[in-house]
Amino acid sequence: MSGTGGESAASLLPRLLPGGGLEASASLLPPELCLRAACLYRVDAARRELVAHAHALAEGVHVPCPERLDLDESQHPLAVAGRRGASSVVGPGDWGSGLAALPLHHGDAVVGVLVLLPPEDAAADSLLHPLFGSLCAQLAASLVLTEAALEAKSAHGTLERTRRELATTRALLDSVVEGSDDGLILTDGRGRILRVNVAFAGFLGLSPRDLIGLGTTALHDLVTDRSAAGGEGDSIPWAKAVQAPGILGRLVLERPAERQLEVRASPLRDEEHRVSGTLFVARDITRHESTNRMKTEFVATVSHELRTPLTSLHGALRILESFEERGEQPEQGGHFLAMAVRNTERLIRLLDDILDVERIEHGRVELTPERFSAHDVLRDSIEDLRALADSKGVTLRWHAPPDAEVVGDRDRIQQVLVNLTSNAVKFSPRGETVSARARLVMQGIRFSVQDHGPGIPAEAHERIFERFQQGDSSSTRRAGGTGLGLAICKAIVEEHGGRIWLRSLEGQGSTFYFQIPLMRRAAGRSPQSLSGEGPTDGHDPGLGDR
Amino acid sequence: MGTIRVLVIDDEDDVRMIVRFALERDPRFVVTEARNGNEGLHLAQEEGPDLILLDAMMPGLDGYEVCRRLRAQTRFAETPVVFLTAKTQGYERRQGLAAGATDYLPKPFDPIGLGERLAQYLSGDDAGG
Repeated sequence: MSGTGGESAASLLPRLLPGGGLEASASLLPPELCLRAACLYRVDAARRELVAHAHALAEGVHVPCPERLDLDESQHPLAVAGRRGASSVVGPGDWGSGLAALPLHHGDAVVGVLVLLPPEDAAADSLLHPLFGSLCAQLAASLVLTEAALEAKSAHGTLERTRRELATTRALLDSVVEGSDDGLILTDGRGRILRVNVAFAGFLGLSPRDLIGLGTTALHDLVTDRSAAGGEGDSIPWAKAVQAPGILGRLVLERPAERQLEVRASPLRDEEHRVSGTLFVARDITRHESTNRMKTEFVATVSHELRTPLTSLHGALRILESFEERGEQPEQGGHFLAMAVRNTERLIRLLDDILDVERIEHGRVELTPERFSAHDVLRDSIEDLRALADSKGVTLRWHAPPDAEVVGDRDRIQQVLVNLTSNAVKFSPRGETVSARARLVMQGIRFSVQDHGPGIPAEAHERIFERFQQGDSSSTRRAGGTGLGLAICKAIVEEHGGRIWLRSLEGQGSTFYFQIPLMRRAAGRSPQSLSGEGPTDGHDPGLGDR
Repeated sequence: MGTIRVLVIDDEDDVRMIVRFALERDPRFVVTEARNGNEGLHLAQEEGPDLILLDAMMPGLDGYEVCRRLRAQTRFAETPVVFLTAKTQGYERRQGLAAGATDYLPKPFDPIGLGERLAQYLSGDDAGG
């Protein structure tokens, strides 16, 4: 029921909290009590503010409702009510006439203020009605609930945000930890493994699950178990790493694979910068170590290989010099001169080969690929060796399908063929035959060079392609080689994307093979159709004579 | 002074030729050559040389093993066994001395004066003793 510019409080007030069940309390109010407006403010204790919560206006009434009021600074009547917790009637202020401010108590605390605007013709103090008590209590309770709900909501939001941030951080950490090639272990303050990555677990042939929760003693045992028997086992001070971070030492594992790890430790710190555990980083230095060892061995071998011809060269020259000094011209002079020349040439070959193998293995040789006939390159290689074979009484036979083509560096492929064939000739007994052939296979073109020499023991098949490993070095030297020929062949073939291997039994001769992949021409034949054109292994009906 | 019989064990033909020529210029020396470790051990047994010159790296038995096998026999316990080798790294030298070598000489070596040097290993001893 509207009064002059007002509405019955019983009908207006429940609109402050729709569905809030204020109707009953409001109905207790005298029916003639009218309001132009009711505004509900909530006290935000943390911010020392009054915050507008709800308002209800009588029809046709427009009054401003301040959104916020500072409880500390403001002299505003609402602020005063909110601060002091006393009902009051105050002057016009924002509403343009007198109003009643009723503090809403919850226990001892003021949780809000209810502002009532009387009709224009009514006095504000008529609104300080004791019957508002019950309604105010209800509003207070409602505000408390709202506050709690808001807090919960905000807490939930913070929690959710924190959870998301945590998940992001964790995902980042996961990708760093798991993406690392280094083995990583994180332990707590007592040395228990909190986290271990796949790389570290893999070093031990385990999965991270097997390691998490273990202590340093168990870790030590696992490592020792995988180290060489009779060796030092695990010398890493896992448990004492906290006191002495930095490089802890090296682990030499034998199982599941031979591996050398350099282990370092750094302290893990919590948010207050206190040491809360240890981060162990195990770096695989196997390759690095083996490269170092190979370099050292190579230098030692080169030193030995250079000293051998130098010894003969120096010795021969010193003897020739002594003839000079004595004024002698003995018949041996010619021998020593020839020895000096021969060994000088050997030195030159050796140096050329060392440089060659280094350059090819490091990819510093520019291959000039072209398409050429397998038949022609095989013919030219054999012709190169004709004189050597004749002098050794060895017969050379060769065959290549007339239309077979090779794509590669022609000079280098010929170098491989000459090298393999000259080896075969050098190690063949007089009267034997060396057969070289080319055939097309599915994957490309395959060359083979077969001899009937002494053969190569199985245990040497792998290392024979390494530098200075050809059988034994003295037989190589007697045969005039440098010990680098096969290493050069391997480097050249691999630089072409191909592979080289041998089949040999001691006493039954050797066959060396190498295969160069065939690049298909744009309008080319398929490798399958090519493969049919080559002769089969072993029984080569077309194998020609020299 | 009597004859000094030297056994040279080396797989390099050139080195054996240089050693033989350099030593036999001095009429005191008689040189026997072996081309590998087995042949060397065999000739040592047969000829009982006064001094053995030994290469380290040879096919089959290497010089270190030859030296150990010689020293294991009382007959060669006191015979000077001198390595003459291109293996000149410190650890290789130690390996030779550990095998019982009297000395470890690096290649290249000076053939002029080799005889004098070898004679020193026998000084204070009857040459051929």
